[in-house]
Amino acid sequence: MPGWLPAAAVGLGPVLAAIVGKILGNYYGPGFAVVCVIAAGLAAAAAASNWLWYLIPALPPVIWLVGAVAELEWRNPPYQGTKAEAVGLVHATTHTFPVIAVCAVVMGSVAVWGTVQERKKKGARRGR
Amino acid sequence: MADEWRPDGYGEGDARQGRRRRDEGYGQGDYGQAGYGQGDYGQAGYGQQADPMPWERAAGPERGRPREDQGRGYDGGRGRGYPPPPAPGYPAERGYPAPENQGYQGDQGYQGYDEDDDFHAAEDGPRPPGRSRRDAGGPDGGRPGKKALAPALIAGRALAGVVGAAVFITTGSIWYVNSSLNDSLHTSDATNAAKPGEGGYVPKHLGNDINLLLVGLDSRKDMNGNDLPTSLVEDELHAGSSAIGGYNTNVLIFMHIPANGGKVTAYSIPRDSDVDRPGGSSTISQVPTFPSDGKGKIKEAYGDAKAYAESKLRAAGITNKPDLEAKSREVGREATIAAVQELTKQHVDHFAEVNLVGFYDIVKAIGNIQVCLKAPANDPIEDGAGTGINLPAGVSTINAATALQFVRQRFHLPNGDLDRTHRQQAFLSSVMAKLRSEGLFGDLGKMNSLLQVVSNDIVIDKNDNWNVLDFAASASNLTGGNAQFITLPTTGTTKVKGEDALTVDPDAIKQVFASTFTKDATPAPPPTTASSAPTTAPAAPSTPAPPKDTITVDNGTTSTGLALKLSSFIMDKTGVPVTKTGNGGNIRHTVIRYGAGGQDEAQKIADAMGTGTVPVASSSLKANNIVVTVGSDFKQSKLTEGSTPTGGSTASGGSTGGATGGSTGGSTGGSGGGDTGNGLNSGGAVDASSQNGIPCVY
Repeated sequence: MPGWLPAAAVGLGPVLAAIVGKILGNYYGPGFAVVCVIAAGLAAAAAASNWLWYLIPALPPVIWLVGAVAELEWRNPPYQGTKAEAVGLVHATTHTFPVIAVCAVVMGSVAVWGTVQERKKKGARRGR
Repeated sequence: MADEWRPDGYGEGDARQGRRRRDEGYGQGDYGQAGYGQGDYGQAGYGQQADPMPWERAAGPERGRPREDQGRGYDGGRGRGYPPPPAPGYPAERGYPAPENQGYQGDQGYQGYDEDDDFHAAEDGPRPPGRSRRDAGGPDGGRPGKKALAPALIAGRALAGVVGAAVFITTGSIWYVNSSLNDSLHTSDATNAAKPGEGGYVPKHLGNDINLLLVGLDSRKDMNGNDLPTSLVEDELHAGSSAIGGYNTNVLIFMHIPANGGKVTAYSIPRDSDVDRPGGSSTISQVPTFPSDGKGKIKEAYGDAKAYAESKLRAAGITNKPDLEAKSREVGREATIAAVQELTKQHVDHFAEVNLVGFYDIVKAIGNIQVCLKAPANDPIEDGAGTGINLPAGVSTINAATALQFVRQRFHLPNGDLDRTHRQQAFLSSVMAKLRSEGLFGDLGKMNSLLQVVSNDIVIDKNDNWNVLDFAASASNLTGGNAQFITLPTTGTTKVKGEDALTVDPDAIKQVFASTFTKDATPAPPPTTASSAPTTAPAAPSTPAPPKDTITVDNGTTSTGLALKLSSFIMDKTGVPVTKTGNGGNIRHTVIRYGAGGQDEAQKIADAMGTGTVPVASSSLKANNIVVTVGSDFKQSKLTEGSTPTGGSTASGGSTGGATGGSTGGSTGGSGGGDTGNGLNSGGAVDASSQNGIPCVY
């Protein structure tokens, strides 16, 4: 897999997720969640172990940022005024956190699985 | 130097030498040691991880170089049980089986080095018993296959972890608080019940303004349909028996909140208004529709529909009491919303419902509230009626129980129910002022604490994912003098089921709403910048200093409620609250008496009344006591001078702001109210900007 794939999945996956969600009718709904989770799993599977140190922590801010921008830009009726936008950010946070949590779990699981597999492989080679 | 045998290692020499020797070794093929020179141990340090981050690559040579510089080769192999070095004279750089892992693999090896080949080569050499490859020490003498992480690498990973964790924890905390805030509340879908073509259906309006309906339910039951404890109802709430009250919506405030931050307009719909109450669709599956109740009091739409729904639900086999209560109440809400929409032809976007005990709990949670009376309130409990309230005119700080008395009093008021409506408006304004002063609207934690207390007594809608946060944001628009409360105009009285009711002109009401709800409100003034801000800070709400004088107003005429109205008049004109009111017989000429020190104030009152009365000193009165006994020479038309006609327009606040007592035109069946000239009356508007958000009302 190309080396840029993990970073692209984490960086652009949530953006794609928001777009897909909006197309499906709700930019923070199931479409958003599913694409985010797929992107997270893909990133974790494709990344070398070193990258995981950075990709996993990068995921929450990226998803939150995308969710916040989507909420402020696409909400209908739009938020007007600073106070309303602050409420919008709380809404965005409420919408995105479950997705963040699931994505983090998926990434962590894939990373652990990958590490275990790698060690098994190494162990097998060394056992030869 | 590399040619001599070193007992402590397998040949000193730098990596380059090592590689060269390896080449030589292979080339020579003298030693038969496939492992010879593998990895050129010094070079092991160059090879870092298989896929290093850019900064890790930068760090790599730093780690590798020392080994190279030291030229120690794989000194990590020392003392690890490798076969003894060859006999003296045996070239150190030749023929030694290399320890495994040297300089090649994931952790240590440089890229491109074939792992298996290396292993195989290494394995060809002798291995001491009991040692596996993983036991082989690394070049630094640490764990084999592990390298020391550069500080930059550790810092980078730590930073990433901290940022990620911080975002995770912060978003998680907000999610938790917000979720628990909303999960604890009862929600409703009643705003979406009416369907096109049905009575009471009004399409959603364009634009981003919000129409919010506040419903105060006069129910002595909890959300599960259980009677509230008698001690609570009778002793704390002073609300009579648990058996009375039913499900009347005694408070109906329909407010328009402009999206541009303009002034909020809140219309109180008199509870006894005789209106059409259309039937329609319901969101409750067991009660797909509820019937029209024809004309009747708007406050009864809720209870009537609820009773109908309850019978249907029971017939459908639902016997679970909480379920029965929740679903039947939902139909009641839908009927109320349909009636309001039918009357106003405005769509209810959102609504909030609170019951008696909810109101009590809210005020208790908020703490004491300041209210302002234009005239003393004295409403003794007689024959089970009355609230027992006893407050002087002016600003008072009241607790939850007195607050309930304050908003429920309707007897011993000049205009009965309409004054009660003004009380509710004024109280709402006072509560908002208090919440704002305590910073509740900007603090999720405080909001959560408050709502946890009252969560079981409040219902809000969930239309468009509306939640308590949106409600709080909208409610905060009511503060800061940004709201105006108006009571909907009524045209007279009628009888409904043998009871007095208020007649309304639906067409006029629709016009009133259309004029304020469908046009953009005046844009809010731009925020004041630091450079243009006034040098004096705005006054914070505070309790005014107690009045110097004690003023008593007695009604010396046969005109009902004149003492209360004159009290309001005196407060408007002189700013001095009247302490108490009473009756003073039947006299022709107004008399003003004062005790020591009260002359100036007494003269001001006399001037304001315009009766030509000369205040007289009285030795029987205590110092600073003034008694005004109003006679029939007082022209009651003065009471409305300076007041703006009501019925949808703004009332002026006078010197102390607040309701102006514009409703003076005789009490008609308790409705009272001044005629505005167009046949409509409703009493004065309550301006939330008066008295620092504490409007004065009867």
